[in-house]
Amino acid sequence: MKSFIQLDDVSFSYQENQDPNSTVLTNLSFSINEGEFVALIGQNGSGKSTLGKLLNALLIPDSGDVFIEGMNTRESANHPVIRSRVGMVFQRPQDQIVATIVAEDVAFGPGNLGLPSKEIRQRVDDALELTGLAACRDRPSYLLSAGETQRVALAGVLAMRPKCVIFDETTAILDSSGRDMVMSQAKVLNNNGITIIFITHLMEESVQAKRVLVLHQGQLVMDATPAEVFSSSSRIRSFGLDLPPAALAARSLKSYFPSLPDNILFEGELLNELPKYSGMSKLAEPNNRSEKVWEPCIEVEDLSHVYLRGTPLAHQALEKCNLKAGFGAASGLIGSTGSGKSTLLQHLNGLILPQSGKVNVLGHALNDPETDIKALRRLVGLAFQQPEDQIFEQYVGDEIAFAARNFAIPGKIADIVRSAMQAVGLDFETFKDRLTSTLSGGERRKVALASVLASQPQVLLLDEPLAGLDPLSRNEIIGHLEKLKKKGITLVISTHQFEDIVELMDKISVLDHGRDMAHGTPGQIFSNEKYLEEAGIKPPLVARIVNKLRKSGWPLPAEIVSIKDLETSLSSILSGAEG
Amino acid sequence: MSDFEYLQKVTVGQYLPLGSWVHRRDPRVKLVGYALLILALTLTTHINGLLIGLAATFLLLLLSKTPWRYALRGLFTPLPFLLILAVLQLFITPHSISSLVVINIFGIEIFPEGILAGIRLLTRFCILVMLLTVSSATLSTLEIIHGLELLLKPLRLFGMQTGSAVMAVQITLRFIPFLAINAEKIAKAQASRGAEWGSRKGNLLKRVRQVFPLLIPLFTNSLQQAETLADAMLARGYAGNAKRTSMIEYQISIQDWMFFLLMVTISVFIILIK
Repeated sequence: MKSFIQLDDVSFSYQENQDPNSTVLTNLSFSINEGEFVALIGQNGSGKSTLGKLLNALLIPDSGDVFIEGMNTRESANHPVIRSRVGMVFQRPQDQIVATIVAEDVAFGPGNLGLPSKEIRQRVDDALELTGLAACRDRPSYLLSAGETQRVALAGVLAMRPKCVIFDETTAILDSSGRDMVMSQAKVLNNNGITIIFITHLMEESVQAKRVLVLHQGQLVMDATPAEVFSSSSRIRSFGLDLPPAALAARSLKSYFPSLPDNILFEGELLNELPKYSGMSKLAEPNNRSEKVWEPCIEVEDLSHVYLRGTPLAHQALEKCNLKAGFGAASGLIGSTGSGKSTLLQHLNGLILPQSGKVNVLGHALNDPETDIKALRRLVGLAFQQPEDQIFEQYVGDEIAFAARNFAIPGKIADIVRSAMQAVGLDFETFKDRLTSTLSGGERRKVALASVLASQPQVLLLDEPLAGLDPLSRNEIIGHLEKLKKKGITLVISTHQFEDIVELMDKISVLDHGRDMAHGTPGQIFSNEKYLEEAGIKPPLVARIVNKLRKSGWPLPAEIVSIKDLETSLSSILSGAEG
Repeated sequence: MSDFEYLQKVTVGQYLPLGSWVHRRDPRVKLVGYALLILALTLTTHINGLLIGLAATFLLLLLSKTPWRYALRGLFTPLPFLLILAVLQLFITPHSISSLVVINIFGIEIFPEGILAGIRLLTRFCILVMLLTVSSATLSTLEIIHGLELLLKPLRLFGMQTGSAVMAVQITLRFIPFLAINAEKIAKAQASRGAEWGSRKGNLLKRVRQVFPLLIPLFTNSLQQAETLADAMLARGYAGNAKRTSMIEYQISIQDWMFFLLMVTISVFIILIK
């Protein structure tokens, strides 16, 4: 029997794009059987999305052939059938919505298949039910949250009753519960016999698959089970990737807990294998790190904000929200999508002026109509959630110079641009004349950051600085933020991908439905699991390990936010027990 | 109100799912009915015709449950342009020799005809904007598409590709709110980095000059999004002129005919009244 998907020696390049950095796929050959669950991983720009598009005939290979159920994608007569068999959900949810009403959008695909109206209605109902969107049926599609829009896109694909669904970094901009939801839906579909191809930057997602394909610079470098792919950390790192967080943590903890099995991949596995404390029972060492007192830099009091106020579509984004951030501190804002994080950030540099409540930043009162907002914006830089929305010039150099020119920053523009680029690790000569449209995901994020740094701000507001980045770029950005913090820049970071960045944070505020639910150090915030669950937040892995260990009797001190902290504590506990 | 909420200011092109009697009418009668009313309001020369049009628009607002404040807010954005046009009317409207000068500003004489023409223009456009607001509030894009598809069907007999034309309309409509959202994002990005958007300073000329750096990225961004959208549409089996079916079947009811007759009667009145 022929495989469901078969690639024979496929090569592809974007001909209209003369840039040598454009994605190229070379000599790919593999096949996927019906009902498989395959993860496709690789660095930003390694050709994952291009491969996805080759599989449903959106792109045709330069050489070699792609067969879907034996049908060659070269024959345009096959395209309607191929596309009804292989559906695709893209990364940016709003770019794939055709109609302005949810149900109409879901009906688009079946309508293209020429199905009778009754059948379409049935399929729309089923797809909305399956994706938990039945209540959103008649809502305008452009007013949904990112997570909801992504589910609409999935529903639109499911309504075509495909045999295979490709998720093209579908989870990149979603919060942890949104990601879990997409993953569990992929699993349900797979249990119903649908082939799943899951393109992702998150290693913890890729281990959920039964088979992992690794792309590196346009070549298929690995095709194996997750256990095999992640068996050697040096090999996977050579492809610009990393082990999943659970595997990394397990390796570090192995020397303290020799009973841990080798090659742990899943979080659940790791948490279950953690040993009980068998030493002398004693109280946890008191936390001798005294809590640092910060001089206030940002003060928000009872802030409320309603979008589209006075229309039938009004939506309350913030409700009596409070926030305090200290000079030189890194403050985290966490909460599920739609909890008001972005709205709050945009108040802090006066993009949104307070409707009610008080906002004070660096001594500027934003309620006061006399406040010079432009002067404030020079001191308070904001990097947006999706760098695509923030980059508006054609050339990287102009993009970064924009703020310096507008704020008339003293000094030569070229020098300012150069130092801003240095701060994020971009080479001035290589990048200043690059077209912004040819940047890869990681580079784009860095350019966006540099363009904000060019105004030499004292406060840096970051909205989801890690979304959509591969592990290598993620670590780089965190490194640059660390350096900025050392220079004394106040950071306010809104994120739902706090796995690694939490080590940077001095304080965390939890938002839920526009209200501030809690403020505290990372250790305080993440030790209260039950309460976080209510706010729809999954604590970072380290916090979950620590919580589990505490429950099994380990006398761990408070404020363990990184694996390193945990190792230090464990070694002191274990040496104490022996001695 | 935030300076950046463009979506809030543009009411034309926004559907409000209010489920009123007007919302439930067949898209064909709504399309033709609104078109007739708009045509009549554009053609009528008499102020009485405009007044009937205003009454009809209010009636539609009432029947469709569209909030008054929402409809009126839609007037704010085009109002400055309308006022400029109206003021121009004061000077360029021809007058009869016998009419008397009402006001004389630095030697520029203004006649009653000019004032009347200015008022007429202002009323006409205000009614039209409100009518567009209410018609887009009651016609979802799918209804427009299906309505057009059904109405244009006879043209297929002459070999016209009505399917592609209708899809082009659908995509255009879908992009309106996204343009507003994109414009908001770009303006915010520029404002955060020192452009004058949304600060309380800056005169009108400065504000107008700010628009150009906004338009170019808005255009390129939209093109990029259009490219992804095209991919997404193809991926969901859209194939140009192939025959498409729809989720909803339409049948014209007696109530639909009533609505249609009402609209025709009003339109005829507007044109014929003296």
